[in-house]
Amino acid sequence: MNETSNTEKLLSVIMNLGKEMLMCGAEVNRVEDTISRLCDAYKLDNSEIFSITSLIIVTVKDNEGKRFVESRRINSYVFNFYRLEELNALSRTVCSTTPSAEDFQVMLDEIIKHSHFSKLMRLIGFVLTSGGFCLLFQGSFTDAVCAGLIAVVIFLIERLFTCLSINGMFFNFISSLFAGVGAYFFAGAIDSAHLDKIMIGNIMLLIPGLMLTNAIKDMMNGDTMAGFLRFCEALLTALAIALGFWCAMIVTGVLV
Amino acid sequence: MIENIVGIIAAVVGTVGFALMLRLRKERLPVIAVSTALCYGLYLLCIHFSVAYIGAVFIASLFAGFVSEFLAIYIKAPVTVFLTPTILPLVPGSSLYYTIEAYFQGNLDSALLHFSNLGKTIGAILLGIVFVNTIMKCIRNYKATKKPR
Repeated sequence: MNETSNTEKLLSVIMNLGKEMLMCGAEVNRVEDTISRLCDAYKLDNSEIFSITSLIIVTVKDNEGKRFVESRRINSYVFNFYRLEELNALSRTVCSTTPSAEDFQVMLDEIIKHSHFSKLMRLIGFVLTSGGFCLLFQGSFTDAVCAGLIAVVIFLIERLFTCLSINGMFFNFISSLFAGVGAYFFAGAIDSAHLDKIMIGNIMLLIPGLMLTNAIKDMMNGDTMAGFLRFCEALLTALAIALGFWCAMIVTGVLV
Repeated sequence: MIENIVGIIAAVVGTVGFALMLRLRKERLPVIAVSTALCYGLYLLCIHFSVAYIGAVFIASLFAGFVSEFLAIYIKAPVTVFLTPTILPLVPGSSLYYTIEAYFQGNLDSALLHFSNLGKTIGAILLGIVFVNTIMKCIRNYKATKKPR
């Protein structure tokens, strides 16, 4: 009895780790690989792992031949590479030392607790990204400053949407809408500001680059389904950006 | 020359910002800055020696891929952590914007042109990543077969 509950606990912790990794922005392939390595390290035989972008299912057999199945549903992503790195390091440590399920869970909780990132740094990140890419695509310094100001607004929208837990697609639409209206406003108010350059700087904030690279990597690793799901997400994000900008054109066209 | 240097600095600033957005730990930022500068510098160099635009993107993407794989092995962190920021300056944000703008202004010819440019650039980037990914996989599998059991 004791043995079975231990397997169950272990499986549960491993699944928690997998879910966290997927939420932080890891490829499906990496998550499957990590789970399978962990199962091997704990000698959970015949582990069958299936994961797509929104679901992980694992079946393992303990040494008495009893089967355990667990699944995790992933509803939202919060890209957090700091946590991803820590989780990756944890899985390496666990594979070599194989602590008990309780210790493993404690270590996992510890990482989740301390791997938060300061909001100020993220705000700086938003401003630098839009300003930097505005300059990169031949914008002037004025454009970069305008793009930076709009980036602050987008950051605030993101904070608000995270609090209200509204889905990512709508966030992209609203952000793009605000970016568009803001860009029109600055381009109209300041002579030396260019609408297109400001807008490009802000689009780089929203562009689904990580999703697309992950999608292709998953597809290349033979995981066509997970890859396609992620690919569709990336396309829809781009569409949401386009629609948001279109609405901005209509809104400003009506107002001006 | 001056505008190339400004370009590289802008690329580094933007990428570091993006890395902060993705909550990358601060110790990695200098590494990302250097790899981005080299990657974008290589792209500009290719353009300077009149390599076609798509070819330059492909070469830079290959370089970014190899650098990220190397860093991932050296620092023992997932490849994504290094690859996503490094490759970002090559991502055609401007093509996406001009496609949208031209399309909604009813300028379909121009929209199609920008859209095909967008597709080609993304294709070149992805091809570079896939290429590196496959090579590294081959090396890993080869090493695995060599390992005594």
